[in-house]
Amino acid sequence: MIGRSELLSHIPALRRYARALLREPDRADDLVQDCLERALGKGHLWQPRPGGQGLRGWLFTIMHNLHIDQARRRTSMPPEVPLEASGPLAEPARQSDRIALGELAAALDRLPDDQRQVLLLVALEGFSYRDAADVMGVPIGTVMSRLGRGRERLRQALAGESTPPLRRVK
Amino acid sequence: MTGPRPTEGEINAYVDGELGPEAQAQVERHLGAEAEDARRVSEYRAIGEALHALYDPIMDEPVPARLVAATERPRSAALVWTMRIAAVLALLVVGGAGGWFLRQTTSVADASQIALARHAIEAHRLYAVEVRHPVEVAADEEAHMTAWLSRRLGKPIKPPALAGAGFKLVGGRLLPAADKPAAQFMYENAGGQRLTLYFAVAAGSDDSYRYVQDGGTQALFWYIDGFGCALTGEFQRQDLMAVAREIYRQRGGDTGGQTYTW
Repeated sequence: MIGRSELLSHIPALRRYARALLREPDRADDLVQDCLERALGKGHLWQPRPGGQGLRGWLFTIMHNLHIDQARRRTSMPPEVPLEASGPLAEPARQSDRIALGELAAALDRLPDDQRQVLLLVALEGFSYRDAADVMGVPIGTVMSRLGRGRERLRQALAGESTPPLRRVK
Repeated sequence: MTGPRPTEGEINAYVDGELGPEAQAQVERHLGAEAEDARRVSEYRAIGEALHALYDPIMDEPVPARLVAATERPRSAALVWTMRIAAVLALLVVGGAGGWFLRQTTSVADASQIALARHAIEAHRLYAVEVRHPVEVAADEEAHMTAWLSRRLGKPIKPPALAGAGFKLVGGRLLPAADKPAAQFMYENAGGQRLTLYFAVAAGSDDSYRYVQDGGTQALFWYIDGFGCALTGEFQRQDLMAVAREIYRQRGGDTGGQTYTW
């Protein structure tokens, strides 16, 4: 059985990840809600065990799988994006040291979904490569190659606008 | 001197703290000598910090009520039913000498009662709205229907006559109830409103009449003579009670010498 307070404690991080993945607040919270309902429905299947995923990893795994299913279903249909949420204009013109956050969000949007997922799991949610591999259901080598590609693409996208030209990576 | 040039993977692993102390020290030495890679590492780190700056504020937002609610209530139909019926408002108890009284109680229905009420209400919803095919066997073949359903349920069963309560029999049908057969009799009043009386073979020790409301649909359910019964319709509770009282009265007056229960 999953304790309710423990479940509640993971919601903020699930929302953060879902929002970064989907951008739109409503769709992101829909994904979190689906994830919580699925988790409760299958709660009897989750057991804490040494070497296994913790509850957090398990919740992220459920959410990852739901996201993949939903993304697959959407491929035949263009995504519904309200006008005010599209493009970097919707992001406040905030700056983090060298990076304009609006540009970052837009560049993240242009990454392939699998690269965006792994980058967010590792760089935002702090998952180890091993745990990210478990969440995504892929070998650890796949995590590392997707992460390397996604991170470098993001860096180049951002660097192209704000810093001097960089050495092209072969 | 620095060692061999670190791979892309090693540089990423360095940023993410995934390297052992020795490999980490080696990458550090390399970065001290290669300004371009050092800058790349600092840019990777800046991306991580910017992601946090961008999305961490969401962590501080209040959790929307619908997400809090999602941690409370499993959505599976069986569990929703369990919760709904466990919160049954009133328990109706048959008193002595055919008299009824209402006892306010919160006693909890058991799983088989919940399943009974659920099947009965679902069957009611499915068939009571049917215009052309509300029943399998119509009331004009009542004798055939009674024999057929008694044989399939393995116990004698007969639709009570509810004309005294203003309802005439429309007919009946056979239904699946978990792994057993069940029967549904449908009645209609002069206004065309329907109620269904559902029977499933079930042994229950609870001798009370339980009441449940689900949207506009109300059901009374009880155990008697090896059957679980449910009376379901879009009626006020007192109207359903009047019908149940009529069923009870008939049964009391009808058993002498008869082979059927009702």
